[in-house]
Amino acid sequence: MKNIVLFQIKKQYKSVLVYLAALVGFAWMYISLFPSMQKIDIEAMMSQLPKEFLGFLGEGGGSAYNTIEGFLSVEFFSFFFVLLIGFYVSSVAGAAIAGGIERRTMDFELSQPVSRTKKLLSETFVAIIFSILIVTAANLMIKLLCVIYNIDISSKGLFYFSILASLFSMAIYGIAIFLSSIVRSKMSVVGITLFFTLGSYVFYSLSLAVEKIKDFGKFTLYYLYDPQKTLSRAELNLDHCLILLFIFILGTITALIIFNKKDV
Amino acid sequence: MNVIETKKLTKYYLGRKVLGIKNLDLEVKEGEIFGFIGPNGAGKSTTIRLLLDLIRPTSGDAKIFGKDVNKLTVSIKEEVGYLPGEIFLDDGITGEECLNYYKGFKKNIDHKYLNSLINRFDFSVDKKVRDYSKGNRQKLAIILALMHKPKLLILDEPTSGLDPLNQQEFFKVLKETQKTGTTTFLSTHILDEANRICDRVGIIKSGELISIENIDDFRKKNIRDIDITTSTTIPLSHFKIDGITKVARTTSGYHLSVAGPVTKILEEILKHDISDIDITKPTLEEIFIRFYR
Repeated sequence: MKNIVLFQIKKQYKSVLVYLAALVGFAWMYISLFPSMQKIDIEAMMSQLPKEFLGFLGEGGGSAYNTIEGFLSVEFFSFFFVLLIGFYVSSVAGAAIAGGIERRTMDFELSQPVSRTKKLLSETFVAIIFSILIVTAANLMIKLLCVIYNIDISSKGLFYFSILASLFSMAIYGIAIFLSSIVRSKMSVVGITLFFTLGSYVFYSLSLAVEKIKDFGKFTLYYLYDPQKTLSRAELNLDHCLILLFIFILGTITALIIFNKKDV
Repeated sequence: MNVIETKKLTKYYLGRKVLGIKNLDLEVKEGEIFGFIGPNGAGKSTTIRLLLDLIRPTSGDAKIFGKDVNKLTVSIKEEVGYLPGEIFLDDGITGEECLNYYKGFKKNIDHKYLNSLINRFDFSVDKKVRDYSKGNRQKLAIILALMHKPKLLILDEPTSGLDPLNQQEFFKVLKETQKTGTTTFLSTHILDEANRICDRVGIIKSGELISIENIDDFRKKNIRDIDITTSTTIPLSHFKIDGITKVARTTSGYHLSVAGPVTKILEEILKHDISDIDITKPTLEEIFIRFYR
């Protein structure tokens, strides 16, 4: 197990640094824009927009832009952050089973004295550690950037958001690793996972704006994430956290069962 | 003691649509080099994949060292070296990183022996896997399969991509490992390979084991095609010589199908006015049609 963990760390650390750099780079751009955003009367501007559009911005509506927490939630954490984290975890999960079978590297790996369970759990361990690291490091950098730009951001909110975002990335991993055990291509795993995750974002946002589907938003993965609530209110919904953790555990266990029975 | 033992081992793919192997009963004894011969698609790789627990049988069972290959696969693989015909490795790492990674799965690696293998096959460890030629990848695969001195070697078309010199070196290593008690299960579609190093051979065709033979009996079959070019007419009765299984008239002379030693046959033929003789080996498929229908 140690052997696989060390190998995966060595294999992935460079791409993890690239993901982190991309996240910090984008966050930096938004943080540097925030002071000039404050000079604009956003509320007045937003009042000109249709009511449905404001609903799309979440519970704070246009006022979300008045705070750095709301601004980052709407502009950064809702889409770009999820896209990159989702891409990382789904790539790693896709490579773990489907990619290995597709590239035929799985044959030789499994001819070694290692069980399928140990192999998958080792790779899962590295994926989770790295995704927590990306999330935490990105949020620490955001805090640092806010200090540099003299912007007051809630440390507690960021801390809670780090926990939530880590659990959210674990849940995406759970979905992706399940898909990896049933499809035969890594890119299919990445594509379906991102489609599902970002599709959940679009549907959730629509549910905030469209009255008819208002009640269905809570059935999306994104409802459990909602960075705006966590960051702005500095509150962590324990039920949501447990459901995200459950999705991760369920996805991983199901993938393990399928992988252990699968012809490779 | 049987190192490999299968009973009624059967594998179908895609539900029951495609047959891999059917009712395979096989026993490979400790210390022998067992050749598993068959044309492409006969079921050789399916058998190996079942033994390595990469795929699961439809029915029947398989044991290695007396242990069930599915239930105790990890402990079995500690003593197994697997060499595929074409190895697929993570191509972003170097040969050395690859060796280090796979060494991590094994216990008690003899580094002196590992270095001797690297030197014998003149393998350069510092290149990235993606930059190795097919032959060099195969050398790496050989080293990976042998480095932990396994008790059982499972080789699937092992010499593909190797040049003749390295093939020779590889067979030498196999014979050396046999002396130290290693059992080898070698799948091949190259008859010469089996003739050269195997003690016994199993013949597989269309997923079914047709026969198991000692290599001496197998060698006696020594199947050849002889094409004689002659302007004279030779009575067919003159071809009634031991070993000639079939005679056919051609536009330039005669075509003979021969099994066994050819010396006597040639002596008899050369008594006639022959302008040219061409001796060829038929393909494995042709041999199967003649002997293992």
